[in-house]
Amino acid sequence: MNMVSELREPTYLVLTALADRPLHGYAIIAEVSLITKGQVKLRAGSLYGTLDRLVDEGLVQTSGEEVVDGRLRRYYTLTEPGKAALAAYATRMASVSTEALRRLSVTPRFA
Amino acid sequence: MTPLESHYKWLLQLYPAAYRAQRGDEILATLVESVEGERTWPTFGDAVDLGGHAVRLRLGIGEQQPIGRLFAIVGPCQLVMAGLMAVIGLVWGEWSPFSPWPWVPPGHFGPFFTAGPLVYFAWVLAALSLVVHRPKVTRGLAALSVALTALLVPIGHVFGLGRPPMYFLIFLVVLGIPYVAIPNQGSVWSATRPSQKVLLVLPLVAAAVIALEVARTRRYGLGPGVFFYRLALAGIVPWIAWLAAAAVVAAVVSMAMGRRVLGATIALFCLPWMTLWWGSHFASYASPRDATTGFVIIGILLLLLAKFATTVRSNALEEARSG
Repeated sequence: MNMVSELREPTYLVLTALADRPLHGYAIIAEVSLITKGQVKLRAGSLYGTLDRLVDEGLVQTSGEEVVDGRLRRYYTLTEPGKAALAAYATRMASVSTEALRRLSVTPRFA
Repeated sequence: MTPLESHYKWLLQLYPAAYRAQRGDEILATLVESVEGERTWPTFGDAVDLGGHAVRLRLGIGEQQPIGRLFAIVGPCQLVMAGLMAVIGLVWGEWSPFSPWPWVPPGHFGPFFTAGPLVYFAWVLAALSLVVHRPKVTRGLAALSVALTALLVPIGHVFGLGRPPMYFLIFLVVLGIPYVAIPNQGSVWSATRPSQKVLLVLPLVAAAVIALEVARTRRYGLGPGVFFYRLALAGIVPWIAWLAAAAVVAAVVSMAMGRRVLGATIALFCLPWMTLWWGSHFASYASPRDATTGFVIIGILLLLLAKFATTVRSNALEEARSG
């Protein structure tokens, strides 16, 4: 399995959301929505399917639990292999994106 | 607990109990926190998403390689169904004690009424080979069965042999396609997963129901309507036919919108049953003697099936490569 070569979009987004701090389920959904400027809204079933797989692959781990308003929140964080996989994939994507924009003669505009 | 929470909890019942015990409260909390505005019922999208996740968990399909794993689960079930239907065809379509005809028809094949047993035995062998857990052997036998079934039409024509009704042959071919198309069959089967066992029992139940139908109406042989005679009397068949039509439309629309894999998957799952339900209504190609129509129809069907099968196969291989 080559985890770096191909990451599906939801996986990439979840890893990106978790890149700088541990988050619980709803916070991941909100963060993904923020990162994509509202274009991607993960649903709970898809989110937990992705999280299950990332935990199985050792890219993500649980880092704690808390109960807020009687509801369980479980926090997830990137592992070292998870950070490495995300960094490698993001670098590759950035390189491809830069090249695509250069060939299209488009100047990237960052908000 | 709010009405929305209790409705979400009801939806979570779809999940396996062990997973629910481990993750149920957490998913419920996420669902409730994600709600925008005042609601008492889950959105349709959430319900479909949760249902899909629950079914994938129950069948062991998981998030990785979903198409490949889906077909790896369904392929053996459809092959079992093909084997059982071949037995039904052999007993009620070819065997004189159960024959609807008091005479041996022209174009008979030895003691059998048509050359159908050539392919029926192949399908039974392919289904039985599942017992030895050698996917490569089963895949080879399934491919042989598909090829023999397709070749029976020109062979029967050249040698002047009768053959089973075209729709029955197409039904068998379509059932065998998923097993032949997807590599690594059997890799997702688990002896301890109850939902998978239930899935394997489904063909047995379906075949038993169909066998009872055929036995009750055996005076018609494998002629039009025998497979669902009682259902037809109960007025259910038209509804199922409309469902099948909706599935075909969904498959075509999906492919037209660029969702090739979704369209091909729907088509491969729905085509066998559509063929069995509708095929028998088209007398021209149900007739074993109408060779030209038979050639055209099985030719078109095989091309379409090859297209669907290569689509899902290439996707499954891509999934396997990307992990």
